[in-house]
Amino acid sequence: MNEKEKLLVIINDIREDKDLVAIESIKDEMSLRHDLELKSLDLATLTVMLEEEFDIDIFSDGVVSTIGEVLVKLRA
Amino acid sequence: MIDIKFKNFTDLDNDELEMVLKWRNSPEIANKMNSTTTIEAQEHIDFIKSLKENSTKLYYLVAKKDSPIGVFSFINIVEGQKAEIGMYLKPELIGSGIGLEMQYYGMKLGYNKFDFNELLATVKKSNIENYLIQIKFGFLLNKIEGDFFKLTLPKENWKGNLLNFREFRKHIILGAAQ
Repeated sequence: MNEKEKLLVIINDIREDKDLVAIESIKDEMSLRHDLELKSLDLATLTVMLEEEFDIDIFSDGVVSTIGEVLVKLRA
Repeated sequence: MIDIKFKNFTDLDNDELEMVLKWRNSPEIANKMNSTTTIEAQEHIDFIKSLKENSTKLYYLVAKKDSPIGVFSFINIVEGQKAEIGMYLKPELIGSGIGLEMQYYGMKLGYNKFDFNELLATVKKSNIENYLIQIKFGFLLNKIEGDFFKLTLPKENWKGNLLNFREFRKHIILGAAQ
């Protein structure tokens, strides 16, 4: 799996815990907060899960708000 | 290197004062405050001035990497014993997740610099997201007063003193087993 596919899996895990339906694909312009319905604690969960998978803190240099911004961090 | 900085309200320049007032009066912030009324500029200036003579309140403008992100406060301070924390993010950052980091460093300030033995928090009963965050931080429900949960966290129960922010975040998300 590439970064984007792994990210989709993690996002769907978080959404499942919130009883939200799984999404089939993610696009760079998607907002974590508005399109994917992730709140503060969900974003912290996303950050920790990505840190476990990629050993990268996506929030280390500031806020990330879209899928594209997350992928830039993961590919840096 | 810790890149979160706290600047006392009494040291803010005019531009910073204006920025904070604008945040405070934005609907996103005002609606979550105990007092939802709009604060006028003179009232704001008088409040900042009063802080110089008031040992029961401390307000800070918080910046990450020199970019302002929000306000962190201690009120009802009993010196060397306890204080109630409060915070809000600049409106554009609400829901961004950065609030966890701000609260972590704010609480470290309270426990370590000011040596409070106990921190308190008040959360609106309708704000379930915030309540869950405070429980993750280790706060316990002390009592319910009207529309508010009153929470408490003694210093000895604060895991953040043993963990850096990344470790602490992992701890509160993945649980005590981590």
